Amino acid sequence: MPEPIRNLPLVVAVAGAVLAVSSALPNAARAYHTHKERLLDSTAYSLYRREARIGIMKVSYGIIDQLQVTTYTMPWILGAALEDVAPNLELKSTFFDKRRLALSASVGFATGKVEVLTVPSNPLEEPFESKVQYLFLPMSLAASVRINPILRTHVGGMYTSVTTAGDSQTSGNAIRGTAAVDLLQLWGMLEWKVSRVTALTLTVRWVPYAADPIVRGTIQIDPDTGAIIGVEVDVIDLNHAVAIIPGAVFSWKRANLRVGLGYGDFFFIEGLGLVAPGDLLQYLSFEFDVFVRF
Amino acid sequence: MPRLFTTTTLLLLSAVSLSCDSIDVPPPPDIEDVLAAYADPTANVRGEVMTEFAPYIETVRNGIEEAKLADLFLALVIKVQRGLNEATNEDGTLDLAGLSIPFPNGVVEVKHICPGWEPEQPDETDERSDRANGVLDMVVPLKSGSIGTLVWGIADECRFLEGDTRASFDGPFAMHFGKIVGLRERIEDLSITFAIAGNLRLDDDELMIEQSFRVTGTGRLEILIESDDFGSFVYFFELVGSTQGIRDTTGSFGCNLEISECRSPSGTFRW
Repeated sequence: MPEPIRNLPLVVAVAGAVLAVSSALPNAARAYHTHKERLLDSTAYSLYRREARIGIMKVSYGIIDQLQVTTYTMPWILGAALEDVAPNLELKSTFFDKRRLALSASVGFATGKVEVLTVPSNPLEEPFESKVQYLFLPMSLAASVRINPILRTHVGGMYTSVTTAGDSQTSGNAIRGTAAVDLLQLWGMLEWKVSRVTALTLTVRWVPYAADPIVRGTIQIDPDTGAIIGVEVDVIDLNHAVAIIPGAVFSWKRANLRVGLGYGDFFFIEGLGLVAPGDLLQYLSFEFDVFVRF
Repeated sequence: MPRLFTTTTLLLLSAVSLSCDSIDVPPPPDIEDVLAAYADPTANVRGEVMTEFAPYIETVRNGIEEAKLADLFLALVIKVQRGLNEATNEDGTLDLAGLSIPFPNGVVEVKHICPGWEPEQPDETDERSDRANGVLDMVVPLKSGSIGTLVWGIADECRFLEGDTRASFDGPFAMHFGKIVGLRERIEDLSITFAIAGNLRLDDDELMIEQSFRVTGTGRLEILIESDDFGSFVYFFELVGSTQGIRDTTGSFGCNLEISECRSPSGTFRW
């Protein structure tokens, strides 16, 4: 049985646990859009002290009013499916929050391993597997401005450094390699509070800078000769990738739902600051989470 | 307390260094003038020119041939070519860090520990010492999965045995292949232009050398002579038939260093 299918019960269990916690805390749950309960995603706002958010996409906790810790659930679930631990953590500090303006800074990491199966185009050559260790280091700054009681605007920038390291085995020649990609992502979001339940959002994401991926490898040619290979990979031009996503955040008495669907020539993976080619999802960009705050 | 956490956050932000990745290698030497001098020699060689340069040509030839410097550098490039070829699929895809990179562009930085002066034992498996034997650092550009036209590097007190001669070279070197070289191509068959500058030692003899020479696939050795007073010309030695001669602005003609004589189209001259 293929590994992902064999691990399906585990994946379901992890996802179910998140939902179970969500539903187990209805009485303490906080909801409705209020002056105090503000949007957390793509904004400068963070949870207050001892406040928690548990959702399908991420779990957060307010250590103090100015510092929130978050872990994204998907890497854990995917890691469990692939029989590998995929730890990730994000610290977000709303270090300024007075009158109409809030400012935040965040830094995080995500790491794990994936197995890559390479199938050579020559049918005479054997497919081979390589283990790739990845490390994402996203860091961001954000600002939120309350224009009036129903309108807010949020802007921010996220710089993400992505490093992967893997071993390859081709024709008996062992290569240890690393790949690095740096990219900068800017976003702007307009928030319109229609009612205490519904807030409409319009988010624009843009990648003004993406470094050409650089892949490095070390190769031992013989006991006396070693080499470092540095290769610039020009596969996907991420520069000026853009996505426009209209969405809404519904905040009921017990639960919160965040949905959005828009167009993007690239798909932005929120939080980790990653960008994936848009054609993977028919150029649809979406936002989604179901969560409780308590 | 909030200020403490603000500071902590900012420190964390600054601690995660922004990695500005790029491929940094020593810049390639400019050998365009050297290549132009081979293509269009400017000197009109006469007896007085050879009077000045014949002893130098003899010394350089002996140094190059005795030390087999060209073979030393070339053997390393061939090793790298073979290593790259083994790491590249038949469709030209290099597998690196779990990524399959078709026809890669980049560089290979090579560090080679030199053979040293001790005769190699057949059962020797230990790595050699770079401190005792010296090293060759070499940059090999990758152009669409092939080896670039120019390869360059530096020898750091690189010691090697040539026959019974204890040889060493210390200084920069460059090799120009005249074309991009495929990973399955025989480099030995190409006409390769070398440029070296440094200290060549053969047993107790030392030669400070700043010289370009060319080795062709047929084994012809060409030594480029450049002079502020006379211009440039090429003195060549054919491997087959022991022919030697000069290529200058007037064309090619035979010479013999042993009897100090050249037979140019305008007449025989001696020195």
